[in-house]
Amino acid sequence: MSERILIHPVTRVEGHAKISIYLDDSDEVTSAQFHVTEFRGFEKMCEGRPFHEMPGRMSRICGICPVSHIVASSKAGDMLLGVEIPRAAEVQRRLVNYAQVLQSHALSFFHLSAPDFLLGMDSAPEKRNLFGLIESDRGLARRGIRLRQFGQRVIELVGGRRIHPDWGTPGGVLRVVGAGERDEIRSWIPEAIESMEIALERMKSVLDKLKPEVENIGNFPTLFLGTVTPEGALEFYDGLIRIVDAEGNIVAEGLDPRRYATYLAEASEDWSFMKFPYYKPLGYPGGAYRVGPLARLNVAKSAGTLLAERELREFKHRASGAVCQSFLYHLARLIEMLHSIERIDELTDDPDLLRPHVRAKAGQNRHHGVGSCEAPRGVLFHDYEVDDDGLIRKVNLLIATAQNNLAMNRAVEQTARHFVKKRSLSEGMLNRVEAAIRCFDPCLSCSTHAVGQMPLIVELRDSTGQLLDQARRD
Amino acid sequence: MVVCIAIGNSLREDDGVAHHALRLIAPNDNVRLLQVFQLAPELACEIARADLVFFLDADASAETTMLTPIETDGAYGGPMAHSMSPAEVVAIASDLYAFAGKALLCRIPAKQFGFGEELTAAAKAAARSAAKVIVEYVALHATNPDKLRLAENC
Repeated sequence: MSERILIHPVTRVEGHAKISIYLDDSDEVTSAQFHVTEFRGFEKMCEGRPFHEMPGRMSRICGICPVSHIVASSKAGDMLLGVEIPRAAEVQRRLVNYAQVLQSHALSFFHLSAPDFLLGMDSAPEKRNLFGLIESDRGLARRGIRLRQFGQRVIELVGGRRIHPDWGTPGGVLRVVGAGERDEIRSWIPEAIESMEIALERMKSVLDKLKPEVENIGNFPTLFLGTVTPEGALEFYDGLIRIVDAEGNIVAEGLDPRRYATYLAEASEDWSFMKFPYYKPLGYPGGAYRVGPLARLNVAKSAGTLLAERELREFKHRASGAVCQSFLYHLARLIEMLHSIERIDELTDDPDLLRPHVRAKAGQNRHHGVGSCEAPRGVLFHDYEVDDDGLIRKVNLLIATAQNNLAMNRAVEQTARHFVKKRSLSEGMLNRVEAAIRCFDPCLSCSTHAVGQMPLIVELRDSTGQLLDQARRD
Repeated sequence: MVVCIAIGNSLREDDGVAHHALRLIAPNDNVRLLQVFQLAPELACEIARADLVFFLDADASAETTMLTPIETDGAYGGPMAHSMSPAEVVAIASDLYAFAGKALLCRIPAKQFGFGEELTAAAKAAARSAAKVIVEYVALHATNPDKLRLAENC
């Protein structure tokens, strides 16, 4: 009799979801699905509102990465105004976006995922969290918390507050940075760099002990998509889209992010509230691609900063083509944190940071605006259509987590096939299935424009769909 | 040093009562006033050097403003989600950052949690009461009692 195992809720990710694992008559895994069970509908609720309000409204999608939404939304607003923003505003946006990447990655790595690596995939579930990490490695836990605090502090110093800062606006930003604020940011840099070097060494040493996980949790060929500079270096604020395949060959490059709809499309499935974006020329689902830290390092030829460049070169040696192991998202995340700290350091040296002219003012000059940036989890697109009065007629948000949806489903299935054995079902097996999702650090609040936490259920169903067994963890 | 952390969502009526109470305490060099939606581990760093820490929060079950000492025994152990309890923050501060001060939860009565930035009249009164309770507690127990005062608008 074929059965289904249901993991519901999935834990240590942002949002609500469950995982179904289907077994055949001989108890072998035949397939698995990652269902996103929440819905919020931000796109719809913005209709009829003035486009100037959008950065503030869009920041409310997410308490983890509000800055990315503010930046993408402000850029869409820049396009509607038809202005080039002051250099000081661009420096601020870049600075705060790097801080966002740093604090979000610190949360994902130290608070949510590191307990799996450092305490063990099969360790007691009640210990597999930040508190377990504190008991096991106080020094690393202390550094992880401080790194997130640094990122949050930069956002607070520049944006005015840590979560949902009232700072971004079409045409620029709303605050001026002072020398005192800049100097405080600088004072954090040495400790932050040291912490990243320690964390990277620790992670690389742990990876050698996690070969089964590295090789069997989401290791498959896909396309990878990310933003790069015109020279092909890592870029988070403003650049061109590049797509590479699993062999590392460039499939497309120099793509204008504002024209994303010409090369990306979204499919829907009746078992998930999250859409399934794909690369149009290869169709659905063949055009599956990954975004986020792993993808960004795969598409970038160089990091553009000294310490991250060294790590990037070493990272690329892990494969002859693109690095396809989703488990290495975690390592990529650490490299991006190091890069972000280096960039924050550089940006505090930029004299334009302190300039008081931070906003270009203009009336509405277009009816269509698209803004993009690299959010912690991958490239983010905000697409607005407005009427003659500047009121929003239509919004489309293409969110990083959704762009990883096809890959996350594939990772769950591959992990379940390799690790889940019905006859000796254990919590550690199911934790590995959850870990497949955590590699991508999904933010389901963003991707369905919804809010909440992500618990875990594992359901066992027979071939008729009858529920046979269920494990639940809140 | 005294740290006051107001928890809540000021867009959900009385859930923002702690933020309101915080604005009734006059800022000075010896007090840090922090407003947050929810508690996170990095707050442990913020309270590390404090002598006294107050967590102010709306409480639908409270009838009057109450100060309750925060016990950290058994604070660890629950599944880690993306919000924390005051006891967990204090436990992290003690374990990782040598926090040796006293931490108290200030429960402020709150009744209405709909959409909106306005507090009910009862919550406004409770916010004033909470600010006074904290200032009075600091006057009695802190090493620099003269440094904490109510704001002029209280």
